[in-house]
Amino acid sequence: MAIKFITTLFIILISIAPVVAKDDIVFNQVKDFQKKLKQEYSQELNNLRSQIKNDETIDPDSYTEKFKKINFKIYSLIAKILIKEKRLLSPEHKTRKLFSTYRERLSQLEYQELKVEKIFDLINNHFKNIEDKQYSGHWRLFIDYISWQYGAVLNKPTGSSDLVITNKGICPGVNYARENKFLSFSVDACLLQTSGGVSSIDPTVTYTQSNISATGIKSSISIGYFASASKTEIGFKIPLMLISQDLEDPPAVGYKVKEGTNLIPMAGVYSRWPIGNYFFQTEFSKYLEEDQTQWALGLGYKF
Amino acid sequence: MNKVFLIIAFTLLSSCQNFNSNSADESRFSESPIPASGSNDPNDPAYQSYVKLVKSYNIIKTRCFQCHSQWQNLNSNQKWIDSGLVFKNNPESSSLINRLKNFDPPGDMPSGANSAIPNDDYLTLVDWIESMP
Amino acid sequence: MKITLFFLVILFSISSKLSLAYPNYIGHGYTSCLNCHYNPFGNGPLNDYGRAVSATLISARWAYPKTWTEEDLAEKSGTLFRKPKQDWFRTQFNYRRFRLTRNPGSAKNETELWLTMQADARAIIKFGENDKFTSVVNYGYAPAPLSQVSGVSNKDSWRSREHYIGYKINPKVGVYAGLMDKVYGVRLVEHIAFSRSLPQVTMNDQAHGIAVHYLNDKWEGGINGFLGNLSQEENLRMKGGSTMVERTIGDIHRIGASYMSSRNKFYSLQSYSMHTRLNLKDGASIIAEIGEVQKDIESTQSTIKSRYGLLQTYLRPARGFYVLNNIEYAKADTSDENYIVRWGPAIQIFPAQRIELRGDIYNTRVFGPETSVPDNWTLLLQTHLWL
Repeated sequence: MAIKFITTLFIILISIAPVVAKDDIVFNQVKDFQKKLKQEYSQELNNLRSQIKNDETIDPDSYTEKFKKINFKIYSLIAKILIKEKRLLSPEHKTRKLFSTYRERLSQLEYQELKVEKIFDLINNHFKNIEDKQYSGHWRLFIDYISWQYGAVLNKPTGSSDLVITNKGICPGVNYARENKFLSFSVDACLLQTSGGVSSIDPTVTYTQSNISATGIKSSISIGYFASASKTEIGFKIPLMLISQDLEDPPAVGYKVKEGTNLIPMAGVYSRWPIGNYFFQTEFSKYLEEDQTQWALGLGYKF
Repeated sequence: MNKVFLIIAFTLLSSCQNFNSNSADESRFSESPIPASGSNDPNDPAYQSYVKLVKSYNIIKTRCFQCHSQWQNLNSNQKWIDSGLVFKNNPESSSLINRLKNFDPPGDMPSGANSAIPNDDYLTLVDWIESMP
Repeated sequence: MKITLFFLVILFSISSKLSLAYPNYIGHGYTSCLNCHYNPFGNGPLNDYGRAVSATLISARWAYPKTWTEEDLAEKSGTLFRKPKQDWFRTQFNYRRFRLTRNPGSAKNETELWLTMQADARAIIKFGENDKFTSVVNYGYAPAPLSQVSGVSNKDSWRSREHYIGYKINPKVGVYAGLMDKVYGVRLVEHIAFSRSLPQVTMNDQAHGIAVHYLNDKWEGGINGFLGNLSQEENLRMKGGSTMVERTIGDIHRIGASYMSSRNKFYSLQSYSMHTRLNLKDGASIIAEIGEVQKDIESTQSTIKSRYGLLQTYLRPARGFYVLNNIEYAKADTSDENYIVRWGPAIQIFPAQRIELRGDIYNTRVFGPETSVPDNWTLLLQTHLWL
């Protein structure tokens, strides 16, 4: 058992060793070249450092070509290290600071300027991409103006008649999202404070009620995409509504209202439009099982 | 100058336009075809009846003629009665009233998604039928 | 002189036009319609710059060879797929065909209708520095209205669409005379919008008149006096005037207000509105308008006030692909408690220059204190081609 464990560990170490070893090689090369710079070009190095520190005008021709070449070599090697980095390193990280230092030196020495800037942009974009892909959590409070329709059935002695209920009101709630620059995954919940009326779809049947309270909870999961630099968002949503709304039976004998389901799954699209930390949002969802629709228009604040 | 003529001449084209937001204004908003009453005396029952007929006709024209343009010729109380839509002095039995969504129990007119007519208009129609001489 | 007068009289005896305005392109930084259109208030034929913008910014480029640069696409945006060889004459051709489905998916009452909504040709003559003098003519097909209206002969027809002459007095001020859309509100391409139908500024409501346009760094506006459509019977023509003004906010957004007063023999209309167009960058925009229309009817001595609201959002997830949503409110009579809310999510695709594909779904919901009415659904699929 122990032999098996050691063998497995050895195989794992062997497989990552070249990567680790290769990175170590580059690091060591940087150190070697820095050592060479200090030992063989100490005067030029000190001059350059002093001139940069004192913000003096530098004459590139007063520095040797070999000195410039070694600085560029070190700069390129640091870039190789940084481009392999998968973590987000801030510009204040020692390796990035070193990289910036060499960039400044080469800029003052006017050595391979185009190439130097190209490499610098490459590294910056690399870390920007890492930063853009990183997810962070955000809370939002919102209040929606919401309206939806769903159905019920009026059972009569002579048959049945479909009823349609139209509700409207507000739904204040909270949203939590994990977002990066491109995508957003979120969940939200809000409390339905609505009311509505009911009528028969068949105009010859005169059952109607109005101002019937409808309360409940609406919860959704969403996936969205940021479509512009101002972080306007568009995506798909799966809301689920749990509602309580009591319809009265007509007074006539044999008439009874069979209420529809009070658990309503839907599928829809949403959009969110930020203005600073405030935003407004829209939603348009369809009841998955029946031909009825919910929409909402809301305002909110992002923390 | 030639260029100016060319520009002006270039904009010449002619044909008839047959539909826009105003095309139906004449049929919808023209003056009532109800013959004038012989009297202008507000205390004269004939004049009072005439005024109620005009008011009711205009309400029906505004609210109903879009779909019921065939009623345009009903320009007297008797014609409404003869049409079967109105029972003299009996609004409840008149289908012009009991088909309205304002009636209790509510009817189905105006049709579809259109809402009930304003209550003032409804009461004007009821009063007109109730007080027919 | 006599000949000039004769031409002018004939000029003012002609007829209607069609909208092709995309005010949402404020999302691309275009606050003024004058950037891309000969008509400074929007719609009508595109100028050379507008065609180039359409080819290089609006339309996708996946169908083109990768070796073609954006400059190549701009060069090929002319009517004949190349840069015009002269400066004084331009043409444009437009075709739109719709498939309209009412109650889609309903087993009982789904109806489908195919409709050619537009087939027209436009010609532009222009002279002078920066197109100081312009003349625009539009002639095309007009389908019979879908709703049958008593007393109106509802047949397909061919007619002149939009004809006017324009003169830019200086870079800030221009004068336009002829048959044009009235200057009022936001000129949407969605001509069924309540913000268009209630004040009577839909795709067929052009009027003969004179409009003055003004533009500077911060302000843009216009005044329009009109005599109605001179090809219509005199008692139907809506005569009056309108004005619209916009202010640029933060260099990229606009807020504005409009007023219009007009009358014919049967009633007068007073319309007021406020609007905003917001640039949310990268093709994203929001357009909002609220307004009120008062109709004073002569025959009944009555007044009907209507109110409307519009919120239109545009997003561009990728070049050539737009997602939009129209949310509208209308109260036909403010003395009534009933009102309508209509939602219209849509997608709009420009797979290449000169092609637009669009799909809209409309949900209309009526709200009233006493009744509940099932939503009304309409599906609209559109193909738009132009040269």
